[in-house]
Amino acid sequence: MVPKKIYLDVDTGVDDALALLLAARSPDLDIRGVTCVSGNVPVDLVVRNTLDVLEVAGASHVPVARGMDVPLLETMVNAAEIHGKNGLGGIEIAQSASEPLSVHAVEFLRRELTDVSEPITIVALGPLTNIATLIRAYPEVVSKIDEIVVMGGAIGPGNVTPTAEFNIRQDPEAADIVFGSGIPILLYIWDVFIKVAFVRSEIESFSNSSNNSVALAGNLLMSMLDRFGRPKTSIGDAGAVACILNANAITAKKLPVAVELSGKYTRGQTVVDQRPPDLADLEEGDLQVVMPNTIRVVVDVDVNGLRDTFVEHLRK
Amino acid sequence: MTSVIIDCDPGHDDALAILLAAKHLDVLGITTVSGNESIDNVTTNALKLVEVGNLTHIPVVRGAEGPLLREAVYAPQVHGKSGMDGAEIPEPTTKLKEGHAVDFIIDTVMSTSDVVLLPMGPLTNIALALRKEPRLRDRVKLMSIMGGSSTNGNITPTAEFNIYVDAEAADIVYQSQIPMLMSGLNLTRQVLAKQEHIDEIRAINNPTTSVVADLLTFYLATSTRHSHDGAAMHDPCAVAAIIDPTLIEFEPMHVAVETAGTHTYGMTVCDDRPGSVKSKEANVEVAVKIDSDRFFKLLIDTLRMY
Amino acid sequence: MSGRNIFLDVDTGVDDALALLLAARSPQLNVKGVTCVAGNVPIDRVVRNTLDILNVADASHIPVARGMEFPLVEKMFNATEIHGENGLGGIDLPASRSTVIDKHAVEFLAGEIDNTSEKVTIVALGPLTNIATLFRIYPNIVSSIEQLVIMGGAIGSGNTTATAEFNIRQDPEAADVVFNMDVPTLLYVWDVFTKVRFDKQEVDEMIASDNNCKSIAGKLLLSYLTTKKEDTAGIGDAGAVACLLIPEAITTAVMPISVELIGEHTRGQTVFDQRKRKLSRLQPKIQKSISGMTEVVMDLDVESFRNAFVDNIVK
Repeated sequence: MVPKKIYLDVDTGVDDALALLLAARSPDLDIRGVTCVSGNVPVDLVVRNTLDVLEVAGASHVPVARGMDVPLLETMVNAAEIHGKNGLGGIEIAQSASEPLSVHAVEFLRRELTDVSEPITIVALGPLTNIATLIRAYPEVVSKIDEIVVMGGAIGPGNVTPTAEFNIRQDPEAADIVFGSGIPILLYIWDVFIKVAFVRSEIESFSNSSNNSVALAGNLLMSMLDRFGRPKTSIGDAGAVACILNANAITAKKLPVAVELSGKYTRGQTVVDQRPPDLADLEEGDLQVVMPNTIRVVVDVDVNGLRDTFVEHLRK
Repeated sequence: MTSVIIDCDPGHDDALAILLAAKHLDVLGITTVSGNESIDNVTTNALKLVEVGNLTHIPVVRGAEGPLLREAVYAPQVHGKSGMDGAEIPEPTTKLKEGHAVDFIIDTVMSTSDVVLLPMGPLTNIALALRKEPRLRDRVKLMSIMGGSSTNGNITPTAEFNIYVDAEAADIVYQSQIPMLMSGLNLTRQVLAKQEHIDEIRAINNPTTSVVADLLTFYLATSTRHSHDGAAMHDPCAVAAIIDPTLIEFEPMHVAVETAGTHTYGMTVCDDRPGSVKSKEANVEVAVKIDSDRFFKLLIDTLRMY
Repeated sequence: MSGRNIFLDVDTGVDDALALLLAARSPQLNVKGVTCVAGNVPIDRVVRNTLDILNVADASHIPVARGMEFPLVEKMFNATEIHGENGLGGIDLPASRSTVIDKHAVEFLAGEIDNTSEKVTIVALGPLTNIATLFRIYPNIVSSIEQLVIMGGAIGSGNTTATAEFNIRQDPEAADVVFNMDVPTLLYVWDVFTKVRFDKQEVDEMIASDNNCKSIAGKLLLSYLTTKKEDTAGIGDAGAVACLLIPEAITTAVMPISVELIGEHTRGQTVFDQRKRKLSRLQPKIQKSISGMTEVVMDLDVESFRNAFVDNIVK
């Protein structure tokens, strides 16, 4: 199988690190570049962490570009209480000798997409600031994007607020732009994000591995277990990458989705219309707000399938 | 004589408005609303005023304790802790009329023809009355309100206090289709009471005018502390509009109340674009210009009658 | 056994009619009054339907009061596609000879609640316009309310819009007022509202019953089968009443609640905080916290509810 060409957009981030390790080690994926955005931690730290993690995975040839340092409009909050001050759960790894590219992430993506002959997949694991800026500034490259796999949003409760998931809530305007762009999207929501998890004994065996990538993954997962004192912890963003490797392990439905921008309590909520068609049609007039965008939402996952995919590809 | 109900939150300028109205209009009642200060304070102030002005035949009825949805916001920096600081006025002995202001407004308007409403505080009572009795819409002859602005605000850059305190209530009132005169900040800032006006009032030397002069002294001080050139006669403008409409120039406009804006909550959005561009029918006569000298003559001559 | 004193606030409405039949016939409940609010259908239709259904239940002695004609701020849009133009699924009931009382619903409730020394329960099955107006004009009344049972809101999907249930969406400002009052509320959400259902055969059996209430209930349910083109018909609002009859058959959770008023897609959404894990230190920097608190019916025993309905309407 020809490895699938992908670009990753990250805010590394403990689980972004897991996603980078998985994508870099998998023979089925060919990472053409990684762009960095402010999110879990500020962008400079994202760049540092990304370079260092790629080094561990033996992927320091992958170009890394620094992107947007603040959301389009929203206040930057970062999530150090989840990812630790260094963004890697307090795990120290060797500093890579690699440097990020001198071009801005958005410019990098523009050039790459202009040059590719076949449309490619972007995997967006942080706030969508880079992607939205690319779409707005360079609409001519949009047709070169085959699909964007987005980690973001929620159908049930949110995380950073009762109704919103962090990536979308950190930059709702960017999410609105991306969802309305017409580019096919696969939305890996918080509801499934938290399901793909490992328990302590499994994580300990990762940490003890002689494979550097597996060991780092183990240490990162352990840091989350210890920080939150739970019996298991999710692989987070890495699950979105696993979806690409094992499309059979997900159930996705095409649903009308909108991003709420003006709600006092619901800003950043991914509004998903799950009503049966007859109810959705019932009321005419301005009560029914038109939701013009339908996107594929991952509504369920085969948890063991994705866990297996993670372990299998990480070890390669 | 025109029959009116005054809905107010005394308030220094409310005080002057009541004294102005009582000598020229048939004031059927004074209803109070939480606004400049708490409902208890403004109601006490209203009772004090009817005693100060020898107007105890006018019933005073207590109204809404707070805005429809929002937390109450007061204005002690303008009106002081009591809502009407500055004068020594004895605690009132007059009793309130029983019942709620909303019901008083409904009962009075349903049983009396051609009543004009004079709302000069947040519009909570009026909105509740209109909602509770939809037939009021066809019975109220006119409303002359003090509220809003076709230019800028006071409590926020875009909103005037009365509308800001309860924008949802204002929205109900502005959409009611009842004929409305609006004396907003763009108008009321044209009538600024200054020291010479206070001196002239004090020189009249009746018991009512000494209280008025004391109140105005306090109000002028807080106004100048907030960089104004004088003490704006907000509420009396709404009364003057009824007593002598020739004092004021009005322009018909469509006015909407913003209830969802982060920066514009409580703004009265006035469409004063040239006629050919307007998209909606006018629902308000917006007061744009007032003859300040003639206004003060009316006010001071009226105070002489006390 | 003297029943629990309750007041019903309704926008009759097919399922409000079912609720009225259930409440009026249940010996455990003592319906002291019914107040009408515009909602499913305009106010005068609500009044007419309420009087007539109480008549069916031999309950014409219960005072009925006419209340708010329009929502506080929102425009009235009604739901005649569900309830039919007459609000009773096209069913014609014999006209009751009773009339509505003189007082406005808000006055009636204020007077009645003030008069008793015991606390009362209010069951609100329509938009909350009457209740909010009552609370705004007579805020002290909350101390006399033991429980406010509300049919409204949704945890998952809405019905009227993707995110909002009809009663709340029809008057979001009123709902906001009510949820910010310090009164114990039990919220019968859309998520459970749809669960208590009867199939066509059961509905036909009800219609064929000798008992007038049961027969009319069956006809009302049949109208739902026709209108909604579904195989089963739900008792809707009547389930909220049943919560008072069989509280052991419901599972509830207490959680924070606010009503979204300004969201483009989310106006009228009941916003709950059900997060198991919170990034709680982040939120205050970017968003206001949810302000109210309510008990929400999360689940119910469907069989118990079905039985409670059929058993009590024939009493």
